[in-house]
Amino acid sequence: MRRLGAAARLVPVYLFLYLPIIVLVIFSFNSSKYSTAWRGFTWKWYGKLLGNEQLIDAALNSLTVAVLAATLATSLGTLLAVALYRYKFQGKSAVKAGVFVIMMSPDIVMGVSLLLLFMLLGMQPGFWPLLLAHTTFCIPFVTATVMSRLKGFDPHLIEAAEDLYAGEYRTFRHVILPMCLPAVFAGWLLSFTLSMDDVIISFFVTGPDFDILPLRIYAMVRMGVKPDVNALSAIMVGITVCLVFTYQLLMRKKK
Amino acid sequence: MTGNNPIIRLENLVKRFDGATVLDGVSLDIRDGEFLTILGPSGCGKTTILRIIAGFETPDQGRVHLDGQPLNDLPANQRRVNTVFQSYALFPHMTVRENLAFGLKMNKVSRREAERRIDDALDMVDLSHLARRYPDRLSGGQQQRVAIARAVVNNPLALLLDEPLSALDAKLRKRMQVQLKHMCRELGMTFVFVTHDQEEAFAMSDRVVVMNEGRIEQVGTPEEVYEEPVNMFVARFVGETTILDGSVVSKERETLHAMVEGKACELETARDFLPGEAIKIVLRPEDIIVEQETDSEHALWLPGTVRDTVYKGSTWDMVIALDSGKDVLVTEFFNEDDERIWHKSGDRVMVSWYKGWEVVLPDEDVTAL
Repeated sequence: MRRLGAAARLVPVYLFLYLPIIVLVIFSFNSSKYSTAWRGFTWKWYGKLLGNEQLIDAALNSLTVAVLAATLATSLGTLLAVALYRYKFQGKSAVKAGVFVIMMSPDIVMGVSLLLLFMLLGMQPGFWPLLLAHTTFCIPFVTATVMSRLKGFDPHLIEAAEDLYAGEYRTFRHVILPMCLPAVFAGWLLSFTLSMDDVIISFFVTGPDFDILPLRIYAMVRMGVKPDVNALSAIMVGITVCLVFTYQLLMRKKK
Repeated sequence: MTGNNPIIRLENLVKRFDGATVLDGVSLDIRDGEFLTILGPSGCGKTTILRIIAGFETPDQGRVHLDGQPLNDLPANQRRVNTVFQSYALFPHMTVRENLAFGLKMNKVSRREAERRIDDALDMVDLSHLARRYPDRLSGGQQQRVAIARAVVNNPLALLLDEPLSALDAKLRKRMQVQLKHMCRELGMTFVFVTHDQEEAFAMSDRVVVMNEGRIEQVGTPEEVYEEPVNMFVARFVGETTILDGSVVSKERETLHAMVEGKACELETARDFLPGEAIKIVLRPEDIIVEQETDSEHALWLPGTVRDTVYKGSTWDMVIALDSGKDVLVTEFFNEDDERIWHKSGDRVMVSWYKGWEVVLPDEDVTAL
């Protein structure tokens, strides 16, 4: 009985969280083109998506940037986290604070400042500025994720590795990295997601010849929500669910 | 067996953390093959000594030699000593076997040699059957043994143990103490053991180093430290004590004429005292004699009342409140043939001690003023 009561209390919360997504998924199968009224089930919007080359291009661009940015940010962010955890150095607290400032700073500010920077550097808006920008805003999230994991460790583990004749690199390679691998994966997935759905910063730094999915959708929605956008969003939800599931599986194996 | 050449030599180590002096000029020779325990209250710097030997801390002053070689500039991973951490610090992502293999792999020991040594080490700590387990699937005692094996398998010149038994329950602890002592003998390896537990120190050690506030107070065998404490700190820290106040009247050779708890008596000591000097008389619970009537054999009889009695199986402990206001702790050993009367709480008794068993020390509280 008590278990049932707990479940009953969770239902409204989850309904609140997931109702919009459920509605979106349902309407991606609605055969009506304009109204929100239900006109029967159809797959045609999904078919239409596949035929929309512009959209497919944007999606592939987004995926490329997300994978590259997540990988770069994960490498750099992990190194930063380990450095902040392991070493004492001048200005350490400033570096630490700096990480969180980037994390909290409004996207619009990041966007404008990055645009300004790239203009000063003479870079043309497009792929490279976009990749750099995404890497930049993902790093703090990786660092924070990995650091929280590192803080949970027995600090003597690293000393134990040194005591057992491992130098700096091998301590990192054989002890620190394997132990925070789940957090590194989590950081990668987080970065991937952040990169995939960023609109504001991308808007400033990418150019007309490198269109990405969120901006494409944004452009499409400006003329009203079309069912093919619903379908596209439903696919993205599906991918997200898969990623979360994969992550959970990975974490369980690690334990 | 125990050799006499030092395997580790500490020369005048000084270490400060944020202005607080943790080690204040520590010099110590650790002999090859001995079981040495550094004993002291928490914060006395004992762990810092271990960490300096291991290479996790750098001394502000002083030098460390290992096997005749200066160690100061050698990083931790190049020192031929291994540490057993208080928290064990087993690598959670490796099996027991992989944990043991880690140091050998890092040290580039050949595979066959490594396998053989791992098998031996696992055998020694009786864990061969758990070699494939991960540390989180082991009990505390088993993890502890893995930690010891992981250090020993590297065949270090010295094994450094930082309160490794403190997380175990009393029974297991006793068993591990015996096992560690046995291991030290068997392997002929130098063990440097850090603890705040005096019983543990005595149970295992060839020599005990008593530390206080960053300084070494006394180095000696457990017997020496217990029976001949060099100062009040060691006397109080090591074992149970009863401390009586007195002052020197005169001294002739080894015999000291003194007033103790207001009564004249003769004491034995090799130390020098000046007439009028304040002294403390340190007595151990087993030094003390309790009778209902006095005889002349013992110099000083102090009247008192039995306050508490504690039956401990092999001994009978008592607390006696002296009329002069002091409490005396007494331990009497059972003897089947003894016709002695066992005193009860509230009994009036006379208290003395076996002549010559007392330790006479200067009263530091007075001399410090």
